[in-house]
Amino acid sequence: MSRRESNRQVVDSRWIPAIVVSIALVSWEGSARLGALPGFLFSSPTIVISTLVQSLASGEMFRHIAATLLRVIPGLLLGAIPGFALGIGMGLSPQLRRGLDPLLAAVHPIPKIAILPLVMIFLGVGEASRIAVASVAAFFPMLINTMAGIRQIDPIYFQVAENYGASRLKLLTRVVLPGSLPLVLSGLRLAANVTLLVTISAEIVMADVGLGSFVWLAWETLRVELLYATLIVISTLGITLTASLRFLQSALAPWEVAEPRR
Amino acid sequence: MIRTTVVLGIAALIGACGGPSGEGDRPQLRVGFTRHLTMAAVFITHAQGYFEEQGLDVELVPLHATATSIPALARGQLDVLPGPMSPSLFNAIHRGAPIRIVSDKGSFTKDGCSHNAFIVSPEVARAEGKIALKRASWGREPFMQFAAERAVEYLGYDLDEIDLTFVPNAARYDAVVSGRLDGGLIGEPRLTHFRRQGGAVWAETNEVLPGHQISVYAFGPRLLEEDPELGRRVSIALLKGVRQYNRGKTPENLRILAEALDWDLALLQDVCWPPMRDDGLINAESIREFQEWALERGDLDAVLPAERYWAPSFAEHARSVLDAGR
Repeated sequence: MSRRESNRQVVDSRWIPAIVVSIALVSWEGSARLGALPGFLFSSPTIVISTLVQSLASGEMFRHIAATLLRVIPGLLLGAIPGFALGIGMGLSPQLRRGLDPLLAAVHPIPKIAILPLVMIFLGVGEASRIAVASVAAFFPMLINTMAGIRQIDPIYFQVAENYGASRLKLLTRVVLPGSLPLVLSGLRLAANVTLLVTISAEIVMADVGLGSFVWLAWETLRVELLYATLIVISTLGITLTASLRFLQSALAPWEVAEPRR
Repeated sequence: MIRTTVVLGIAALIGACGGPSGEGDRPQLRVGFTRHLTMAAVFITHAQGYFEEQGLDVELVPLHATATSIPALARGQLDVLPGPMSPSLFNAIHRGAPIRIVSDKGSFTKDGCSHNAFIVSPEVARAEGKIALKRASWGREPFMQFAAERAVEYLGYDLDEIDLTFVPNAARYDAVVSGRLDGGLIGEPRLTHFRRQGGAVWAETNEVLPGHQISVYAFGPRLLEEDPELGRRVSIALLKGVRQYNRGKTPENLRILAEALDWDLALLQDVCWPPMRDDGLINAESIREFQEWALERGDLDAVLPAERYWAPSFAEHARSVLDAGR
């Protein structure tokens, strides 16, 4: 296969998702307009888009986006930073790892939204509970990835650093952090997505403002066009969050992001 | 080996053709429910065999919430949906869903007890004079919000001055009792627990919204359009269940509800049983008021006239059949 043919294939394959989505949207619009889909369950894409534009123009959607972000960002920071710190500790210390691993295995699989009632007992019914649940969700992926990132560093680097008499700080800054960075950043991406997911779930259960609460209200009142519009916003938020963190990853660990040339 | 295969094949064919003998010709129906006291009449209708009396084979389908199950009713996955007033019901009808309200399933009556009330924290209750309600909460269900807003207005408070936060039912009760919230709307059985502990009830919803429709039975396309005769039989069974329920806290009713709700008998004796109408009629005026409230909030497409959402013939037929048999 020539290089030109191979390039054309790559370009073509990039169009496939757009073509599939376009066909799906046109079929959906046509079916909705012809009455083939029940109107109370499937609004046409044009109605969904017009509802989305209206809710953005009126500022209502932005109010919900802002409320969700004001939970996601503190939740992510409050969970990811301790997760990172403990992950370093557990990655470097076999004793700490052996001591905390069973606890981690027991607590990690618990659906984070299930602890919301418990959190509410301690933190009350306000914002603190929602942020706390989001931060618990962010904590575990960050902890596990940081720990795994340190453990996959070749022991030779530690031995060399030791032979050169590197201090603990030097070991941390010259070996541990650069060596674990790619997995740490992957953990941050995972943590961000899980935080968004859990925040929206918490808002569905207990919030008067926020994208989760807006989705639930739309479903509760069967305004499906608003439901779909809010789902588009949530999806866009997820994509933006992932793209931002990927950008951060490319800035901090470019060697990991760059794809090998074939 | 071959004989075994043949026997199994015949058995499978028989199974596919109908189920146990005697049940094959009974129409199978699916009735949604949630495990709440407001569903008492449904449990009684089922347990007393009123569906079977009408030759119906009814499966009770547990639901998380009835308002969000309207699509299942409209798509024929459920045949009967008992549930509270909800914008989703009217929006679905407005957008062409083949569903209608067919009968009453509960209303606030001025002379009866109240199974929902606006309660306040001990600190607010102890305060002298009119104290500001800073933080309050009520349910996410639109009808409960409507009732709570009316209760707050009834008490002379301005909604704009209250920081309103949504808290799940169980947590709301605890939050008010512990003083994390100043007030909130709660229902049974927590209302009875609250009263037993000497909690302060400020407004009972039957005083705030006397005669207001709370809950209804709705039918889906099968009972409304495809087989209305089947719908009439279902209506007879349901109204008979309501009338049995209206006999009150009889040993039989108590036993059925204790089993269905998994409550103890003493609690069932004490709680307020939501009033239901013996004639199955609805209060269209109060439904209009609720719709106007929902329209103002942007939750409703349009206020529908009763002719659009109410199919009275089923309740009328059930009433005439049951009254003739008295």
